[in-house]
Amino acid sequence: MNIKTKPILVLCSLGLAAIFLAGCKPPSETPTTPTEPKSSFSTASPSAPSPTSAEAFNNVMGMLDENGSVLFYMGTERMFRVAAEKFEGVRGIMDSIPKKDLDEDDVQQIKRAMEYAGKVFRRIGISEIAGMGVSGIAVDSELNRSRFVLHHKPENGKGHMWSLLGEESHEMFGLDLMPANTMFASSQDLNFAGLWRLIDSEVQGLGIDDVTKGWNEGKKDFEEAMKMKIDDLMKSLGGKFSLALTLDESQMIQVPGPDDKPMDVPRPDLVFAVAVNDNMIFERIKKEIPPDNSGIVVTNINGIERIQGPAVFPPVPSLKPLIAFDGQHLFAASSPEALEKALAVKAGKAPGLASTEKFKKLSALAATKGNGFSFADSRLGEIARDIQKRTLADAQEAKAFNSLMAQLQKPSDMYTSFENTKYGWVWTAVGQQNAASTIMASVAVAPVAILAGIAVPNFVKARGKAERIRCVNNLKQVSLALKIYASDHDDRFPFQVPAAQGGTKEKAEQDDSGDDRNPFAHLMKMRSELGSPKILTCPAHDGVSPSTDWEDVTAGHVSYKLRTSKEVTDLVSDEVLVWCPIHHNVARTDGSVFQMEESDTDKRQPGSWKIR
Amino acid sequence: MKQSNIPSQTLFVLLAASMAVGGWDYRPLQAAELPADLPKPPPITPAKQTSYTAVTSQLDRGGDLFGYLGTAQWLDGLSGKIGEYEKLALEMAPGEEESVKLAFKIITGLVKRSGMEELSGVGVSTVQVGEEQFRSRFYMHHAAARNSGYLWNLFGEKPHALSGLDLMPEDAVFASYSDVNVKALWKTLLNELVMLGTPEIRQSLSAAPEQFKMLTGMDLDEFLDSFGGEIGGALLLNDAIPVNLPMPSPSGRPMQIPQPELLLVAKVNDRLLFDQLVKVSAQMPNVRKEQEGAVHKVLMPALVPFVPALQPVIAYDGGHLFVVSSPGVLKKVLAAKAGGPSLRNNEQFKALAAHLPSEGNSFTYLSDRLGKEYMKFQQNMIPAGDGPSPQQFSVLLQKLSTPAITASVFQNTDEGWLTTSVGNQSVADALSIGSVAVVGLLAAIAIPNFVNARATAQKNSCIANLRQIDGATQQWALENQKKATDKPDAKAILEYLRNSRMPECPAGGIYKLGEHISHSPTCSHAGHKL
Repeated sequence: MNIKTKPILVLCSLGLAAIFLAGCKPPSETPTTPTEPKSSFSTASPSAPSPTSAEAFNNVMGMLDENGSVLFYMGTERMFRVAAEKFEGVRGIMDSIPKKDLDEDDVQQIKRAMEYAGKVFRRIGISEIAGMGVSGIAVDSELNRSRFVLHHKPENGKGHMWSLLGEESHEMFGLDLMPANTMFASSQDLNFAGLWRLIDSEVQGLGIDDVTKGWNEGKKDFEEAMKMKIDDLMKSLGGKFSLALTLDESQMIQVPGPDDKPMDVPRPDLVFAVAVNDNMIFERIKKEIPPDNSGIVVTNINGIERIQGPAVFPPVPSLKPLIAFDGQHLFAASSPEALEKALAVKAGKAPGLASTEKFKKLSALAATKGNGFSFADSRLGEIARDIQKRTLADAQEAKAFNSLMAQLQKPSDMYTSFENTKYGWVWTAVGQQNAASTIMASVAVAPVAILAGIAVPNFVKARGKAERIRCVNNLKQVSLALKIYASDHDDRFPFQVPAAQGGTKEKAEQDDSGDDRNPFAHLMKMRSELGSPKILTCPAHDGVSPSTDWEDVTAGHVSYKLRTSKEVTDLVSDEVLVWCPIHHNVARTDGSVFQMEESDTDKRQPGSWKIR
Repeated sequence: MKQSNIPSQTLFVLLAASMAVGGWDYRPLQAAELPADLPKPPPITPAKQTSYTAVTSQLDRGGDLFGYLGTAQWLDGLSGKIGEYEKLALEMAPGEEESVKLAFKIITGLVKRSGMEELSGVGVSTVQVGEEQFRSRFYMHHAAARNSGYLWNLFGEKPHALSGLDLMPEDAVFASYSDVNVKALWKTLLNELVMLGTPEIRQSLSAAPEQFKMLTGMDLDEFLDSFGGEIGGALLLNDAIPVNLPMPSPSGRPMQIPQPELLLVAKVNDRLLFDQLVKVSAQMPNVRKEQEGAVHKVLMPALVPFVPALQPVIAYDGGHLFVVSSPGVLKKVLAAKAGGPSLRNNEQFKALAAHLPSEGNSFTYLSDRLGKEYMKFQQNMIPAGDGPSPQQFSVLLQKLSTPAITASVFQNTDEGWLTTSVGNQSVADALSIGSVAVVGLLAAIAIPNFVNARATAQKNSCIANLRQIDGATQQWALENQKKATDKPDAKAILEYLRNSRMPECPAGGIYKLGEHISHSPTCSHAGHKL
């Protein structure tokens, strides 16, 4: 990474942090900077905050269940307003932070990033959120209902986010494709095209050239790899998708269990459906079928085109994935039988999930129309627990498992509906599970998950970087040892000194790319120059730990490649002498070490390999 | 930045003006008329009666925060539920039966006797009651008949007139006064320890009264009975007496604060406690005893040499025991008790108290004077020189946080604990300040750091270039047998540099060879020097 891109990264992260705050500046402030980005969207500006939040309070409370076991409301209008006022003040102070090292460009860039972040925040519509609320209530002795509301005033809701998860409410998409034995289902409106246009236009208008350039290059790479225009792909997608997992308990199949013992489980099947506007994507997939006899068959049954793949996982013969297209949906199914069942439900020839008593009861307490839903059957949890129990090794463990499970809540049926309304987003969840317990659990889990998500990649990255640096140090020392050897042997490296004079000239032999076949032999002649054998092993060499004792060193300890062709002499400075195939660090005959890319070291050839 | 500030200020003025004209309605929310098309939840009949109505009827509706959590589902019969886990724990830890059983006995006993199981729900609300004035309520509810737990009986019985206000001087910056049943507190503690303890603990506990008598010469029961069940304290800042803090000030300005004065007060049933304190203080030199009407006083000399105003007084007036930091404070307290100016006459407190219940079991008051003094102190702690000036810093502090003003009243009602507090801080403010502070802090840390890091990197890389140029110059001079005073030939020297090219300064500086060979090459960018 060159030095110029770093400030951009810092700016971006700063800008993101500022989004939350700058975005809620009092809306009458008219942004008039020369860098005003052109957006394809109308700039929505929320109405002035009203001094009292009672209207938001009343509306949110009206959408929640009072008299239940939990209720929470938070008004956000004042919070956004106060934050903006405070932030303005802080921005003023930030101007007075000493900037003797900060040139005018940087100052302008920071200002631009902050202003832009503010505009994005408003365009997206987060500052239109007037309040949020949660409620939980017991419906009968078994069922609980939870509501979650993200409220905007009816005259607002112009920001882009409010149309991303669907607009008008409608019959739940995909429900007519779900068989009665569906254990888990999910369906959601998602305005792919809108989301894409939003991100694309914001990045184009960002005004930071490096970011915009990188984004456009990525876009081009994707289009080239997929051989289609992203805009066409977006036009083709219908903005709705659904997913259903069925478990057929009348048809047990065998899967590999612990200790390679087969285990009986109900046959699972998965059907994924996406609404599409045309056959573009399906035709594109068809073109990707390899011409050779790979077991992929294209058929057309009852006007439904299918691309049938072979069994991909032999231990489970029922798994035969296929992709199909019926004019309105693009299907991905785990087996032809699964697709047939879904189509039978749609045609009214088989009972669907919607006709089951359980589903009817749950959904009647939530919303049957809307922009999305999810459903989970308690049988899924029960079967999962049963399988888990069968994998336990002995009776003692099973007993403890049983007592633990007895204390935990029973697996719950759950139906959740999602509606995008004039008053904001409303989620309604109905099931045995209790809202308060669910909230408690997620409150505890989320921070841990987020922390882990942040810490783990950083840790891995940091380790990788440290290893690369240690590898550079090793190469530096090895090349230095070779140079010391050469200065003691008339400017010849060990592989140029005959065995009679204490060298390994006779053993020098290169492979097709010019690396020596046996670097170990040459390096072993240089024990006194090398000092410790530790430096022969790259810290990232999998499964090999550096040896500190010359007696224990084997050819396997040597991670580095040695160049022993006749061009590599102590008399030239820029031939590669020794290099690391893991990190692509190379040391030259003059003792300098460079960090290269794999694409560079791949170009090496027998004979001369110069690095400048 | 200045440009963008003007519109927002204008807006603010406009907003304030429209409020003045339109009249900002702070009254608590009345009946709600809901829009017909509001997506209300499908109607149901709640299966379980919760404490929702009982709790929320004591809260304020229509504000920025409103919350209720029914706790009966977890807490009702909690000790029994915990007992169920005993079996599981015994299975999981074989061989530890005794300690597992003891642990469960302790936990279930604590849960049962404390009154935790009787808690049926908690509620919280915040509502705006005036310009920059917010009332928050926090309610811990139990049913009227379910109050056997000791929690509900330690902090007073029924709410009563806040007579403690008459003991607090008018200019107190912090004051707190509370019902505490000291004897019950001790008995509860003792009882719990006995219930849990091993025979040894029991034995040492039963010896406690004896030991107490040996140490203090007082009977433990008499000592506990001497407390009248009310305890309080106050902090005053006396502007008339400035105090120089004996600490170095990084800003160079003297660290001066108003003289802090302290008051501790306890309602007492007899003179036992006072006499005991007299006995203890008699061991100190220069202690004077005085009597002024019904008031018995023990005056002590200045305790700390550099705080001459600290002259503690212990006093007893037949009803209360006072410990104060100076005779002046005692005067104020006694005047207040006699019907003179007290905290009740304090304008700031009066404004807050208008929104508070007049009866309760305890109250707390915090004036913004304390916060303001602290801000002044913080400003003095900022070293002069680099960074924001003290003025800028004080503006920043004011933007981020207004010194807190708050008054709260706690009531132990028939149906639980209700705390009502009024102040200038709202939940929204707290949340927004938090986020602004975090971003501001990050920015303040990140910007100079990243700028520094970049400048340092550029400098290092430039110096490396200079070193190369110098090396090339010396090499050229050596090979061409030049004298130290010869002028270097830039063109010839290029041949000794990589690619026969002059390196480039990453900060855009321009390189110049030295006047003589013995001089180092220079970069036009300030600070880039070999």
